[in-house]
Amino acid sequence: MADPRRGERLLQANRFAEAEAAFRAALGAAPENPSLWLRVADCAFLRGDAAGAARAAARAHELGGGPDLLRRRAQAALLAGDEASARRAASARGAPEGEALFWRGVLACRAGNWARARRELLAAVGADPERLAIRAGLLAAWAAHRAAGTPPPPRGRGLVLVGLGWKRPRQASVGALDALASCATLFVVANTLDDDVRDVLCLFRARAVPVVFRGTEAEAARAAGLAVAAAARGRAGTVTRGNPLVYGRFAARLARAAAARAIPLEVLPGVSAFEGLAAEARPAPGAALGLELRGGFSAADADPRRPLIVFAPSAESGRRALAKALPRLARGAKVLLLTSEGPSAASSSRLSAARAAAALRSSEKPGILMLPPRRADR
Amino acid sequence: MTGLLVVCGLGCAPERDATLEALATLASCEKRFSRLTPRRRAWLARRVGTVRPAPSAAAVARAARGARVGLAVWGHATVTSAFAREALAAAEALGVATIVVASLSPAGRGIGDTARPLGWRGDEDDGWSVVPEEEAPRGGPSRPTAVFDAEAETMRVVLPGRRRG
Repeated sequence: MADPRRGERLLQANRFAEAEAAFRAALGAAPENPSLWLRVADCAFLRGDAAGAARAAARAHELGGGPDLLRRRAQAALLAGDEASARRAASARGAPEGEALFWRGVLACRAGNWARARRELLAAVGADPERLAIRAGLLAAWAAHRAAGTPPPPRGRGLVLVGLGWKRPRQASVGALDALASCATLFVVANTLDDDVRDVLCLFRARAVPVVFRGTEAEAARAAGLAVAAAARGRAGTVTRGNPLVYGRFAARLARAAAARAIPLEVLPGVSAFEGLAAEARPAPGAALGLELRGGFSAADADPRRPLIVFAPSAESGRRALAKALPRLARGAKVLLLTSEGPSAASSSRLSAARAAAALRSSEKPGILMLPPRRADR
Repeated sequence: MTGLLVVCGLGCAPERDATLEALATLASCEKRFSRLTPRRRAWLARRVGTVRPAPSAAAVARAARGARVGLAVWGHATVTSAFAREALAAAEALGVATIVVASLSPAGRGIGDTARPLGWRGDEDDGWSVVPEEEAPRGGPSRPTAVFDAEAETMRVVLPGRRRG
């Protein structure tokens, strides 16, 4: 029996065609496995076959049913530009009511029928609050924003760099989505693609093109070349996480390429991890307004009155940065440490100064450390 | 009945920077308060419902009576807003539960606006400061600095070696 784990390994390595072949081989032994069909859909989309992805996702939904597979089917259909299929799936007898309302709301967004979109999306929240309160509530907020009136979109060529936020897509700005709505082509970094990002891409009729950036330099150059070439013909958008220019090598490469060809550039950042953490960092009484953002090597000379956020590229440099920052804790300052390793940006923990010192000594990845002032300093 | 105070930053230019989360959260509140300019308050009200101009004490008092109250502030609630901090401290003193919704700060907006060719890289000896207007550096700062005026709802970026409006 073909092993689907081989497909997963190939997919992780961005070898999409080979991964798809591996998953199809696995389907030979288990042709009615919806998960394998979804993997085929993922691979097909990432190698540029949106129609093939839609067929595979439809097969998965036929086999498995339920709201999650309806979601994937509707997403795949819309990313292939097939609104009729998405509408049929959402209107089919027995379709889960909340999910069906959600997709009818998305279809109304694509048509620019904002009042209807808001109505359908709020109805989706009411029908299935557990699954849809956030997903549909966020899109209803955008529909309400558009219904209230927005300036006409810019015309002509240009490149738009959009970040969907640390906790995407809830931290995407209305300006970011407005900008994406004006684009003819949307490039999305492959490792950013998840169900929530697909929901956002489905709001627009623009062609969605996945690009690989985590691979080789040649792949990176190719991805930037595709986006800039599209931007030279019309408006093109790129979709990434957080703030595209914070640790944003892809965005930086795009910005350089756009400047070299005199293509107008617009950056619409989402909320970055440091801003998300700063919202959690209740300032100590008497602390100054403002914020210090520092690279690990420059943490020691930051303004001691303000919350300090230290960025470090690795666990080890994070520990060194924390060592520089620790003396500040005695004065009750807040120190937030962000490293770019692993899943650190997805979680935070509150630590005392003593536990921070212990973390400094340990081999554990620091990730995000949130250090409140000592009780005696409050 | 336990009330809730939800403080939502709207970024430096709310009509562009407000997040979906902030708008959805404010729309779900029973009462909304803000000290945004009348023009921006009107912009917000068209999206989330009535927004009352009021001091932070009014918002906290309403939450203390059991309502789910939204407080919309310019910029980032805990980085740039004395108004938000005042409300959070008052709510804490009264035992009212609070939530802070993150937003784009002047630093995040500045990093985007400057679109530095190499991006902002925390692994270099580099960084940003975010300071109120009255503490703006004289002459050129050693690091990029986002200078904000929460009362006027404005921000500017000052880069080392040159000034930028």
